[in-house]
Parts: sequence; structure tokens; C-alpha cells
Amino acid sequence: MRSRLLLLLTVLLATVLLALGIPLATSQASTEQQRVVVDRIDDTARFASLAQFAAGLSPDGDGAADPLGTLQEELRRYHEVYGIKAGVFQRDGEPMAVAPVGWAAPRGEEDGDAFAEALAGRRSRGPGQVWPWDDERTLVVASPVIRDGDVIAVVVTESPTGPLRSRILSGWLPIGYGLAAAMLLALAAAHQLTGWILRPVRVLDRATHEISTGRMTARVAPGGGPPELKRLARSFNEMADHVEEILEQQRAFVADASHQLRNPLAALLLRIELLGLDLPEGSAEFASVQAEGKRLARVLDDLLDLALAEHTAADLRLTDVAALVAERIGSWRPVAGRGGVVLRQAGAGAVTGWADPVALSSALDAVIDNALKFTPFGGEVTVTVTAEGDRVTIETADTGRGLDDEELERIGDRFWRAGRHQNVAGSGLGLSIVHVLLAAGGATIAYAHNQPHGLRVLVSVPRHAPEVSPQRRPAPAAG
Amino acid sequence: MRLLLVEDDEHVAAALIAVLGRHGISVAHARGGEDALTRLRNGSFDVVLLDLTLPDLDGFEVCGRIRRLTSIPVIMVTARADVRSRIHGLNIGADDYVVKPYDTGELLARIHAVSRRKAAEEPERAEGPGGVLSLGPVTLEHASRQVTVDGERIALTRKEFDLLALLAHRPGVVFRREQIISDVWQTSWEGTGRTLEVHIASLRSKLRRPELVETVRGVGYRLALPPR
Repeated sequence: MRSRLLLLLTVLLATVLLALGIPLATSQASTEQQRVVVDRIDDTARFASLAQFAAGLSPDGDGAADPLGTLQEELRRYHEVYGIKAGVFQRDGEPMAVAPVGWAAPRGEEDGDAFAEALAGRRSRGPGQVWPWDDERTLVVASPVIRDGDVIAVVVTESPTGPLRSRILSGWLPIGYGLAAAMLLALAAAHQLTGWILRPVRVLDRATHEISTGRMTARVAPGGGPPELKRLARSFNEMADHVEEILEQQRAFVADASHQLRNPLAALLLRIELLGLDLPEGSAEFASVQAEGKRLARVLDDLLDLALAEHTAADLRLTDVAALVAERIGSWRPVAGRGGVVLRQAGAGAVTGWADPVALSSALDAVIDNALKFTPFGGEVTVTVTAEGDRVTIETADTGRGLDDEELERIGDRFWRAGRHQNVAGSGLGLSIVHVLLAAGGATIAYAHNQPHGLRVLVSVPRHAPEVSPQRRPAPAAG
Repeated sequence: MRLLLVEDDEHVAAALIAVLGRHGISVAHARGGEDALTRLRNGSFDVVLLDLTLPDLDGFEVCGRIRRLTSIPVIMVTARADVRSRIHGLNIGADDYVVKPYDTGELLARIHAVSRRKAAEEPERAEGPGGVLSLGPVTLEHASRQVTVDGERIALTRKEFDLLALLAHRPGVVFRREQIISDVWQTSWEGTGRTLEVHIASLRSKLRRPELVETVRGVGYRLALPPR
């Protein structure tokens, strides 16, 4: 949009400047030429008045006054001094006196017209405009020699156009400079204008991006820009407020619901316990009723966790991801050992990333828990930390049965659990909570197949703080 | 053991009173904060179970006022699971914090834990000079680990003595099996099999008064003696 706007403005301004500059340059050229033509006409008029007396005389007249010789001499000197070819020609085109010797009046289409016009008794009305790039052009000016009202001869001058052309060019130079300066000014103005128009758009874009990545508190600060965009920014803020409010209501509803359900559930569990006291020891039915009740309680806990995770602002800081992974693995090793699963860490030993350590720990807990849950006895779970570009990737690969493609697409959806895993303990919310926890810090989670079988969970964390961190906090004071 | 339950939800209260009753704990039920404070001023209790959402007063405030009144152990029982509420609750003077819905075993263990701490602080209650505990026909001497029944000394193994001492600590109160195993065998519930039953049977036969150690079906055991 910016380049298009800039291009449009530039083309418009350039057109305006050219529309002004071309006529100016043309009139400059024609003024220069006019001066030369007037000059030549004066010259030819003088020769014509000389030729008036010479015409009709034989070359060898009385020696005291030899008008033809004088004319010849004048023409020769004129040619010598100015380098302009000049000659007086009879009506039939026969030369009477020419310099240089042997020069014939050019009778081309255009120049011949000057000759013909002079024959008709008119002075040259002005030859066609000479342009700096017309290398071969000459300027032909003709005047009639009139005696007793008749045209008896024609004076023709043919001037080289070099000096004229260079004069036109040097006249054009200031015009060109002026145009270039005006163009630069116009470009700067266009740049400013597009910046002014697009600044609110950029701010809006950034805020939209932040909201779409989960930072619901992002808003557009009121600023400059066109009134329409200011109004758009205001509407955007209202919309964001509204969306945030709705999300907050939804979160509050989940929190309230899971909260309100606790009392009845507590009473139910107590009643179950009471019933159990009267049942014979080790009743399988009773044990499963109790287990169901406890599972319900865990789902409630998870729901509340999810609602809280959506609510909590991430406390982002530079975190040693590898150390964090090592710590989490240490905590899970006893559980893995009980299930006969080898849990190990691979990859880099010290990698820092930009993350909320608490959220990342919780996320890793859920991911490792998940991997251990679905890895059979004797299997292996490997957590690999790699730094690549500006992301740190934590890959958790297990050797369980894995998921098929369709299941791979659905994993992470709320309450979704693979059909054949319905009997494994869990609410199906763990990875959803992970997703929410990670999204708040700009981290992502992805899933892939592990070869030859199993699941790979890829948690990716940015290595550095984003350029403009909306939640920048002062670093905790040392010591 | 006397326990004050502060809970406005009738269903939860009724179920809890029934369960605690089965465990040999006598429960007084207060439906609000003021009620609870009045009862505390007038009666003596071993533990308070305090719900945080009360109709008349905020649970945290009730806890603070109980603290100014007495040093009785207070366990907050609430649906508020967030860490901030827990920290606030413990800071304001609660001895423990349990989130609903709770596991009954865990709740009982916590009740016993806080009341045990309280008992340790108090001047020796039933124990006479030299750590002697006299309960009806039974006399326990902690220092020399000797037990006499009806004036006659009986020889108990180490575990049998620990078992009897634990039950005698709170006569009438039912000790859950997992609790006894944790306390006497210093291990968690799993994998101990019938050890407890074997020791109980042996203890009964040595005491020559089988009715002293009473089995509460589905729960555990208690010393069937009126407290002093």
C-alpha cells in the first residue's frame, strides 16, 4: 500500500511538473531561435540592399564603383567571420555572388520554401524550430532583393545551428535543475504524506497482530493521521474492549461453574465415602464409583486451570530453557521409572529463550506427562533442546503407539482424546492448557509423527524479546 | 475429639458430619461466622474446619478473629483453589488449607496433623509425671515403653507398643488404617498387606481385653475407652 501510494503520488506530481516544464523549455528554445532568425533577417536585408545595386550589372562594369565586387567581398568576409554561408541568387537560381565559392542555395523541401517565399517577395517567416538534438540541421533565412517593386534576386543565408543549440541547452539547464529540485521536494512531501496516512494503519496492524496472538490488552493509542483512520482506531479499541470483555465473561463463567460445582461434588464424594463404610471391604464397584468421582474433580481442576491460564498475563523473561528442561526431567524421572520408561535429555546444554518460566514448566509437565502416559513399559521418551535461528525448540519424542494423521490434527483440541485412549486417566484438557500457556508468551506447540512409531511434540520458544515488547517489565533488581 | 465445622452449604455439612462421626469425631456445626465465634467462646474444640464463603462474614476475617480469640488449629476448607487465596489464608492464621472437593483420607490426615501439633504444644494432658498415660485399666509409660493392664505388666513388641500408643493418644477417635501404617511403620499405604491386622490381633490377645481395641468397619481402629 505504501509503495503504491507513493508511486501514485510521484506519477501525479511528475506529470504536473512535466506539464509545466515542457512548455517552458519550448518557449525558451523558440525565443533563442527567434533572436538568431531576426539577426539573420537583418543581415539578409543588408545584403539585399547591396544586391539592389549589383543586380543586373555585368561583372566587369566601371571600376570606380563595383557593387557586385563589393557584395562579393562583403559576403566573403561575412562567411569568414561568422562561418555563415551566404549568397545572392538570380530568380532562376543562378548564383550572382556566393561565399564560399561553389555553394548552392539549398532547395530542399523546407529550405526551398524559404527561397520560394523570398521569390514571392516575402521575407522568411521563420524556419522550423531547431532542437538541441537536431545535429544536421541548418538555419536557412532568405530575403528578396526588390527593385522597382519586382523581385530581382534572392539573398539566402544558411547558418550552422551549433551555437544556437548549445545556447538552448544552457537555457534549459536551470529549468532542469528547477524541475529536479521541485521533484525532490514533491517526493519528500509524498513520503511525509504517505507516512502520515499509513502510521495509524501500521499501529492498527500491530495491535491486531498482538490481539490475534493472545495479548488481549493491546490497544491503539490515539494519535495523528487522517480523521477516518482516527475513527477507525477508536472503533478498533471499542471492538477490542468488547472482545476482551466477552472473553473475560467466558473465562469467568468457566471459573464460576467449576467453582460452583465444587460444593455439590464435595458432598457427593463424602456421601460416596459414607456408603463405602457400610460396604464389604474391597468392593470393586465402590472403588470405581470413587474413582469416577475423583476423575470428575480432576476435570474441574483442569477446567479451572485452563480458565486461569487464559487469564494470567505471562511474566516473560530470559530463561535458561535447557536448565528448565533438565529440572522438569528430574522431577518426572521417578514416575518414568515406575512405568519402566527411560526418560532422557538430549541436545544443547545451555540455551536461553524468552519465556515465562512458570508457564513453560507447566507446559513441559503436561507434555512429558502425556508422553509417559502413552509410552509402554520398556519404551523411551527423549526431550531434545535445539537452538535454531531465533527460536529454541524443545522436542519431546516418545516411542508409544503414536497417532494417525486424523488424530494428529485434532490433538490439542479441548476435551479431545484419541478413541483408544479413553481409558487412560486424564481430562483431555492438558495440551489445551499447554497451548494457552504458551500462546501468551509467543511460544507455539506442534505435533508430528515419530519414526518408527510414537509422537513428537515440538514446543518452540522465541530466543529473544520481540522488538517492541508490550509487556516489558523492569528487570528485577539484582541482589 | 471435638471439631467445629463452619460451613453454610447444608449438603456438604451433613455429609461431612456423617463421615467425621463415623471416624469418631464429634462435630458441632456453625452456619455462619458469628455463630462460629460464639460457639468457640462458649465451648472447647480441638480443630476448626472453616469454609471461606460464608453468608455473614468473609472467611478470612473469621479466621483472623478466631486467631485473636484462641490458638485453636484452623483448617480452611474452600472451593477457592488459587495460590493467592491459599497464601492469604495461611498468612492470616490458618494452620492448613484444603481445596474442595477433597479426599476424605487426606482431610482426616490433615485434621489429625494439626491437632497433633496442638497437643504437642499443650501441657501434658492425660500424661502424668514421667510421661505416664493412664486410660482406665491401661497404663502406658512412654519413657520405659512399659504397659500395664489391671496392674499387670505385659510385654509388647516395639510395633505393638507404637500402635497402642498411637490409639491411646486420642481415645475414642478412629484412626484410619493408612494413617496407622504411616505413623507406626513409617511407610505409605501400599504394599503392607495384612501386617496391620496381624499386629492388631496380637495386641488384642496380649492385652487380654479384646474389646479395648475396636474395629470400625471400613475405616480403621480405635481405643474403646471414654477419654479419662
